[in-house]
Amino acid sequence: MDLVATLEGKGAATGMPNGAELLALTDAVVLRDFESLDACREAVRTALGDAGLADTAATIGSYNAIVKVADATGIELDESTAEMTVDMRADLDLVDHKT
Amino acid sequence: MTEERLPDGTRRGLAQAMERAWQRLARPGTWWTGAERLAIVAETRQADACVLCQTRKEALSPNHVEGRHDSLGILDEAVVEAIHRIRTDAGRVSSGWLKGLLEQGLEDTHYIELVGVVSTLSALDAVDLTMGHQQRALPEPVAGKPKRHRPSGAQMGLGWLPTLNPDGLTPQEPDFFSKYGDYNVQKAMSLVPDEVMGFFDLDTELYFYERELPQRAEQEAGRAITPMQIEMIAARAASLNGCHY
Repeated sequence: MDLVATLEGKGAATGMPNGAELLALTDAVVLRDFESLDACREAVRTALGDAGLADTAATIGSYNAIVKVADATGIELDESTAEMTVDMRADLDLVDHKT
Repeated sequence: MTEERLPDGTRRGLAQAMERAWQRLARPGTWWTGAERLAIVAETRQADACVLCQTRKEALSPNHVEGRHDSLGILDEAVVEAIHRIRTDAGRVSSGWLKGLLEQGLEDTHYIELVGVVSTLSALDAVDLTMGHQQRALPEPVAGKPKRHRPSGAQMGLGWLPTLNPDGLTPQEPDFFSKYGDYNVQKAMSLVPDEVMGFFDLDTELYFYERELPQRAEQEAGRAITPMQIEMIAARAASLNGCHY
């Protein structure tokens, strides 16, 4: 998976099967793009079926919530996760600037 | 093992977890009554239409935008500010912001439970929106008093408020560490252990149990999208939410 393309929403460039459809739906939901939402939903349903759509919805739901838990409480990345992701975070130019 | 699914494709276990989470919002919590928790739910949805929140989100810094929230007028101002910011722009809240709310009288315990309520609702609403379902109608509040239990072992050291470590648990608290893991994300709301239990009862169905736990492999095998596709969606959703963690 191309992480930079993922974070930039460039679905087709992620190298992931159905990346474009999945990221388009994710964007439409999180950004509350109601104009695009129905079409994005149907694109995922056509590509991955009802079950694929439902599991996509579940993931979006999770990451619409867990991020709030983390950010609203000021917790930091676990040491083990930080060690595993040091190269990835450098590639993405992620720095620790939370106060 | 293929998990049983409803006609719309939703895993049955997830549908049941979502219903439990929804009903839990109406019950007395540790610090808020059922009616208060539902008032938080209603105000959380109200934040989606708040002009101040929208203006702040578009601003370079939310702290430079003054004004009043488009509120339902039921909850105190500090509570409304907490709800609206967490719902719409959690990635840019700070310890200084939280300190200001505590100085206005919002207690740390009540804040943590509020975080749980807002986050749970945000998960449920996002799933329903993605699926094209109507937003769930608020249930009736369940009468009863909050249990008002503050874990004696909670200490500062992790985030902005006291949290529990596994060795700080007492028999009065549920052992969410054994059930869900002991990463920072499980500790984040541990000042209100029941909120941790409730949130991860839902989240382990939305997403997964932690990798070390035995249920994980079966969960991954039962999904209709691959683990890598799931991680891609997760990364994008987190990024769009401006998640620092």
